[in-house]
Amino acid sequence: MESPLSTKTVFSIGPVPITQPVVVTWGLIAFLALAAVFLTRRLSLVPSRRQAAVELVVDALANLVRDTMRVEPAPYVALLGTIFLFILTANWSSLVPGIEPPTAHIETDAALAIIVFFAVIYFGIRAGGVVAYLKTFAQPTILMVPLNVVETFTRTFSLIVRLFGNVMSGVFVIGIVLSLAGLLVPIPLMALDLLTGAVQAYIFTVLAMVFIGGAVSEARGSHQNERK
Amino acid sequence: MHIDWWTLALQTVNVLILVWILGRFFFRPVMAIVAQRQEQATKLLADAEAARQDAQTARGEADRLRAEVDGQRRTLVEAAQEAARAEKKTLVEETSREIAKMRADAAAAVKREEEAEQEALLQRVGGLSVDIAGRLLSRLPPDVAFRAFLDGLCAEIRSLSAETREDFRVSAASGRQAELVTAFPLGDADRELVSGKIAEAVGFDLPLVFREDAALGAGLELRGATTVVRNNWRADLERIRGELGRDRHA
Repeated sequence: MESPLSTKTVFSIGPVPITQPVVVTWGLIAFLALAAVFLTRRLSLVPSRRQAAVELVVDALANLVRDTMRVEPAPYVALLGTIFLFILTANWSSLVPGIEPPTAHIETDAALAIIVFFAVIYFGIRAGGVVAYLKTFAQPTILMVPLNVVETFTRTFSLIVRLFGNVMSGVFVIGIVLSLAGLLVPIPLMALDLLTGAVQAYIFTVLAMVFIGGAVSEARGSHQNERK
Repeated sequence: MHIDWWTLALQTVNVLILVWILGRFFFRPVMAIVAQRQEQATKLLADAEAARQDAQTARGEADRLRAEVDGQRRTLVEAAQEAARAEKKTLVEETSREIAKMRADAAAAVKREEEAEQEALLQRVGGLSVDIAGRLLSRLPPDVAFRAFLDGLCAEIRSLSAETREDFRVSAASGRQAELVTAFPLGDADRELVSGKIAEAVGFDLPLVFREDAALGAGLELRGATTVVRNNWRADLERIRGELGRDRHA
């Protein structure tokens, strides 16, 4: 059994090794893109059942963003929705035999966390400007600047570790059980892994919302205090 | 633990590409169609509200017009009723006048008819009386009736004033002889008797011209130039009729 912490190179393009998570991610991108095109090819004001279901999902996501971040959801839905759908499909891709979920590798989780990290900065600056955003680190007092800076990185790191640990452990456990027991024994664990994958996708997305929402609201508040 | 930086970079790019793809082909179109539907629903609601406002305004205007029409109708009905009352009053008064006039005309006609009937009745009564008297007289001896009428005539002459009696003389002297009219021809003896009785009554000899008139019924009549003395049934009946007429008119 291979270590779950190692990444297998499928092929290389020049000096760039194309690992198995990257290939699976490309497959997921293709799948999600085709599904998106298929689901949105004939949108109309009088929705079909399929369109109604799609609108229900998107509307639920938008409402979640609105309720969590207390802002209009339109600018954030694409990023947060994509993160959720990607993590969910990535986690559930373990059901396909021979496919290892990209989120079971720390590079994918780190990539997602890095995107969230820069999204927090981007939306924070967009909401109140650079100065207002930087001032949020001095809240409630300037003494909190080191802690807030450290928190910015640690919470990103926690995102990485939480997702990586949960998904990797599931895959690891299933691999161990599969190597020790028969073919059908890991099935309950796989079902549990489905639930864990959905929960982790939801948690990662909600935490991203909280981080971005916090930055936006604090930056706006700081900006308004500046204007006063 | 080893981190493959190439994989990290590629996965970052992959996720960003996926964000763009899903944002471009999934989330944005779906949210756009939802927003469009909401906008149309809002517009429909606004249109419905505007239509409701218009309907309320139209209904208010209709109520106002209806009230105005009701007011005009009441005014017209009251004017028509007033005109009808006046017309009715005029018609009643005209009808009353016509009825009164017709009643008066009818009463006058009835009165005239009654008078005519009474006149006719009196004529018939008079004629009947003459007939009865004639029949009674025919049963008496002619000389008896004649002598009775002659005595009456003489009494009438004697009751005349002296001037009136003198008129007979003057007339006779001037050639206008008095006429003695009887109902039937007199014989010589009767003529002589009559001349004597009349001369005695007037107080002088009065020449007479004897004539006959059956219309007298019975009796005599002395006709002078200015005076007529009657003692016959026709004169008596005319007097009776005149008396009856006076009683009726009284």
